[in-house]
Amino acid sequence: MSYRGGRGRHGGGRDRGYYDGDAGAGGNRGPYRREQYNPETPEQTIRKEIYAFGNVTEKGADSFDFAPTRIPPFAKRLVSRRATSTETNVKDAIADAVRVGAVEQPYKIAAYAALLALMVHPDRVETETLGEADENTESNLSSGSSGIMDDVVKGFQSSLDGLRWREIRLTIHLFAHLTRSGTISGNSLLQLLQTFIAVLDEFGVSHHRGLQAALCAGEGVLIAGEALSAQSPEAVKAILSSMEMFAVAYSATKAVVVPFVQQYGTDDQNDERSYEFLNALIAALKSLISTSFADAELPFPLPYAVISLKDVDVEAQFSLPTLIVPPEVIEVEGVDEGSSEESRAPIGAAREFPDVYLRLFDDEVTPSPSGLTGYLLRAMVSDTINIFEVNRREAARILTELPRWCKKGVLKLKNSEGVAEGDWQLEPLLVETILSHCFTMPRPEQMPLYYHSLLTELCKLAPQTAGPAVGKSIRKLYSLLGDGLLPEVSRRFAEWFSVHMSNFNFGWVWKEWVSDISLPPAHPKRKFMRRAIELEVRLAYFDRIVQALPPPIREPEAGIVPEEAATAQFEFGNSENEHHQASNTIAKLMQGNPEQRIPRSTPQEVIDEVNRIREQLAQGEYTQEMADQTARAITFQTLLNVGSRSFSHLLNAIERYLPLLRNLAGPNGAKQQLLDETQKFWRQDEQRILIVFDKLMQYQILDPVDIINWCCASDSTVDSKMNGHSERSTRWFSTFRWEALRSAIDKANGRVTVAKKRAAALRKEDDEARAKVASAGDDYAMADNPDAFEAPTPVVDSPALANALKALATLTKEQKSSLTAALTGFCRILVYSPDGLSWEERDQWDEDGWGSWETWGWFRHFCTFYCSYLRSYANTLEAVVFNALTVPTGAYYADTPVVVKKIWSVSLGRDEVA
Amino acid sequence: MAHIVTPLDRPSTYKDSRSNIERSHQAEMLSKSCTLYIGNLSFYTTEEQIYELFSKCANPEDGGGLKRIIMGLDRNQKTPCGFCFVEFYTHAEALACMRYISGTKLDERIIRCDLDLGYQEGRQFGRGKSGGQVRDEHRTDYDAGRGGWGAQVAREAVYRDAETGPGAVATGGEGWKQQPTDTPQSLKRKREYEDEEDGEGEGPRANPKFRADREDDE
Repeated sequence: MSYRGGRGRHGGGRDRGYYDGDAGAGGNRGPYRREQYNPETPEQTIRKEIYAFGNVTEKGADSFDFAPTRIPPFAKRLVSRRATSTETNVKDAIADAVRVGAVEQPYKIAAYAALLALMVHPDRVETETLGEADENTESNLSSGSSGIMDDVVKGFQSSLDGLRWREIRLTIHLFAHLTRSGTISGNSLLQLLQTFIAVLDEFGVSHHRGLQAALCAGEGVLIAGEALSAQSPEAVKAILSSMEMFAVAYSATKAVVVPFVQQYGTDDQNDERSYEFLNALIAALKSLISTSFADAELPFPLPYAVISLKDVDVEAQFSLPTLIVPPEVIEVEGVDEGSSEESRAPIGAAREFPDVYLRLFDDEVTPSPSGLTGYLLRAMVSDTINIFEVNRREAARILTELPRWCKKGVLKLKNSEGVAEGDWQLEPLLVETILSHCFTMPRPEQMPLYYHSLLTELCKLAPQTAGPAVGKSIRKLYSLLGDGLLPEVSRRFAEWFSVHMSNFNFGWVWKEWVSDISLPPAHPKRKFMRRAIELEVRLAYFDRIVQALPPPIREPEAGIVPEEAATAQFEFGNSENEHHQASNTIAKLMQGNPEQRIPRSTPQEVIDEVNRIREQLAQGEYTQEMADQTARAITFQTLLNVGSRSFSHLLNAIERYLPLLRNLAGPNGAKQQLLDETQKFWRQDEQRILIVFDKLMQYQILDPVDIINWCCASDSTVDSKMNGHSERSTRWFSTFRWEALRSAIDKANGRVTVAKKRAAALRKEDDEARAKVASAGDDYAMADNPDAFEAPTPVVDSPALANALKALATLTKEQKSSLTAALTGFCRILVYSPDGLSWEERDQWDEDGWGSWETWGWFRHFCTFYCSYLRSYANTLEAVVFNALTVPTGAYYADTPVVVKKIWSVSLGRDEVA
Repeated sequence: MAHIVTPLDRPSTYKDSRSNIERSHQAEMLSKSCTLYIGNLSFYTTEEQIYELFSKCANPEDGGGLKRIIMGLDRNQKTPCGFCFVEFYTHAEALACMRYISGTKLDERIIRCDLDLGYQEGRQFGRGKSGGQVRDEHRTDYDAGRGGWGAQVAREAVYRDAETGPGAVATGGEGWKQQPTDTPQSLKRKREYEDEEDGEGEGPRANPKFRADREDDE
């Protein structure tokens, strides 16, 4: 086992470059340079050695045990190197590399702390332990030691300046360990932590900033609590109570991001199936403080304690300087500084909700997150997951090696007789942490696919132990369906399930769930089975998946699996159809005939043919309107059919006939018809519908708002027994409708994002050009005509910038109307929520019960997922949508307006709307 | 955060052997590339399966999305021959595929992804003597998912209409129009290689110059 990051795997000098922003500098850092001699600089060599400190690759290392006796000689070597080195940057690099090694490998922080402790005070162990002494040792050691902590603090300062919160927090871990080891004075660490607590009291502090600052302070206390308490127990208590106040202020927000929703019941705030990270930290701290840190035994071995360092005089301890947490920079560049709602709309989404995580195992299997051990292990696992996002294979390997960095007996290990000893199993902890992060509401920190592929790697590395943990997690998640698990969590669950199965031969034991086919079709478990199988089929083949299912599930009567593989439903393809001939003519025009060398017809030729068909129909018994609609249906479905063979065929067909499509989409109501025709044509294949929608939006045949309106309307004329999830015969929202809605809203938001970036870039260019002109002008002006200063040229935007700003304004309006349409749509559906439903009697629920429950779940997700966008238009949206929100006759659930507004205002952090 | 391990999204030794572009320029292009070469596909894998997996790395909220898929075809049979190009709208999406998809399974085969300089006319066809990929002509193992020893078994002729020459492959669409008043002509195929990075938003944009240079290289 190795970390592979070490020597020689890649041409030396590139290791740092790529991510430090100088990739490609000078054009000599390319992928094809491997053969070239590219020696490591001494700085890179020493850095790598420090990063690899403690790795399993070391000779004779026990893969589950790290021997602290290796620290003193290494510390000595580094210090002497620091004293004697004449090579560029080596002196400065050493202490910095130790800090970087710690913040990028959080499981090694305690070991790095021990290393630093000895580097700062080499005299804390007997000289013999440091290795052979020589004449210069003494003086070298003292000169090599000076300034080490200053170097570390310098690195910390740069993390602070960049507000790189994870680095800040993990450096505080390092400081906390150094305080425990007596290197840093307890008083100065306490002051530093208080600096972070002060952030919580800043006026208008964002939730993200406050939360990160609270975690920094709280985790510092968690690790160094005993030393800090010795300084001032009151100050430690004050830190805790500030954290509690901050948490309480956001407790209402938690309700909209717990992974459960219990519409028609009372939401249980103390649901033990999930936990909130900051509250877990507070609970852990509370119990430690109540016993004055008597049981504050960290789950990690503390090498600095093991090698029994001599005490350091208080005067010789390092005092952390007074630092400040710089304010957040709000970027509004490139946009007019007007105060209109549009100009303030954000780019991208912010993380502004409490982190609530699912529990998948009991406290006996994985340690409770609100205890010292459980909290720190989870924090360490989750930091490792996020840090190693760039390389999932290394991430998986490191995660499986975690017992090496934990105290003996914390995580189960097999002893010499093959019996597992220890308190907790590693794999359930890893799987639970990875999945709970993947299912975080409203947005996971990483792309869900990262978590999927990380779990795949984990299962490949440790099939015997990770496999069962994954299996148990799937069963647990499945059991939560119908028990309140949010539709979005269920959607992500199905997505992960299908990807995971695709990587492991689709080997799930479906037998276990056979009995659930008797549940009502709208039950979340039934819906999950259908969707999971559908997604598996998309990644493989219908026959492949369906044949592996046990017979009761496989039978079409069960309503889980469609009768046949999805195919296009081309109504004009049937020669019996009265319009077959017309469709055939158009198809021939669109396809040409390569063998007979007949080229494809031009869009105009097809348009002429469509006009001819329309006129012909109108001359018969059709009204003008019917003729128009029929001609559109024939033409559009024929085009879909020409493009039905593959995604590329569709793309080709759309691109070749864009003028035709614009022509078809022009008249009033035509766009809705195109959507309906797509749905009819691909009613068995939800994926194809979404692709057609996406490309029609891409080519601006349709606007996002058309699709949003379509998603929110139901169509009772569609007969749908087993037509995938795309059915719209019910008014309630489904996963399919959410995905279609989301792709439309994302498209609208994405366009604004791109337009903003473009405008910003052009503005910068403009400013630079102007500055250049101005500075060039100066010289002349100074020389010839001092009066020139009095008539500055008026600031005029370049035509490109003016265009870009115009485009931005248009797209922003579209974004606003898209969000308005979505909110209106949700409200219109939700007012029809049935009355008299009770969560406790959900086993009696029918389609309306589950359908409306699901719609509420999607609505809550909509409000939280898009909260940063919605917030920018909140005043307008409230005025336009909520003022018109009345319960129509025929609607039952009179509470709808109240509940809608509550979810809305909590999600957006607004005062309750009247 | 990449001092400790090598990120998976670095370009590998994969390259277009017929590209004449200078290596340093290639490296720079790869650092912006939105296109991936996907290898070790089954001959039977469909575009929809590819779409399903790769769209999980799409990020439309950031102006991204899956732009197009170009199936690698046997030059003679016009049937898939085990590779394809996937093009996104943004570089970040291509990198995400390198990190999360490369080395995982699709259609029960471990596929590999590599950053590509960008699709050019004609690259959709295999360059081996038999019409397939060169690398498949060197294989000595039996591989059912690829039609066994390079033999061409009967496969559904989805691509029988595959063409050579300009306009054979969809461009995947432009970004949206700069101005709502843009004329339809602006979406013509001529602008197929326009790149968000290179466009600089100069009104109706002309073919970026470097693209013309590259065509001269061919």
